[in-house]
Amino acid sequence: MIAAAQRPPEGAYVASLRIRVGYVDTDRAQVMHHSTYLRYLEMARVEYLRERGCNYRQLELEQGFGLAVVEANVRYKGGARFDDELELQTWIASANRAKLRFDSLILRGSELLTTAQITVCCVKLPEHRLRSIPPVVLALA
Amino acid sequence: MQQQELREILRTIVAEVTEQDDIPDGKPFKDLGIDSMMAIEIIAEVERRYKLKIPEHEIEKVVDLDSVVALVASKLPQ
Repeated sequence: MIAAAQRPPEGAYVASLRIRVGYVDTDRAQVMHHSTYLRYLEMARVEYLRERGCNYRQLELEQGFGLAVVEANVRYKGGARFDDELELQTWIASANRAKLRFDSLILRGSELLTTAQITVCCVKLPEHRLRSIPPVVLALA
Repeated sequence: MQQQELREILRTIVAEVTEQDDIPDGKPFKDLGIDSMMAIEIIAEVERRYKLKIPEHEIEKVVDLDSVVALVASKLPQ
């Protein structure tokens, strides 16, 4: 059951990424390790950007902009297990020139396993100097 | 708009954005725990409020309330 407040807002672009949980991603308790969720969430953000026409590798290598995580809130509701197929739904929940918040749901079928809010800022590479979110990224919000 | 009126509005904006109780005159932002991320957020809010566009290179001028007032005053129509 997904509460209305957890769903993407009406009209938001939602990217969907399907990932099958690898054995390496689980722990001794046979559930997916909590840190793996963050890694999958990062993959989902990269895919979100790609689907919207913003290739993150090019953003870093050609334009010298990096998106650095400044806040991560993850609520674990249920444990994923080896070989589960997960769907990560990701959208931009809020944005201004200082930071961008990606919200995600992680689902196993219709079962909600995780909700997450990841906030990123922009740094100029290679010096990692904080700067405004580039217009090309801000335009996606 | 009078400079003093603008100063008080911006003081409120800075306090709200940075979640500070007060923004004293002349106190460097770094002494108030206001970092470069918050400085960009202040600029974002000022842009939204006054429908301004402040170039990237001018954000580094934001170091205290005086500098915010001077920056915004320079962008507002006289």
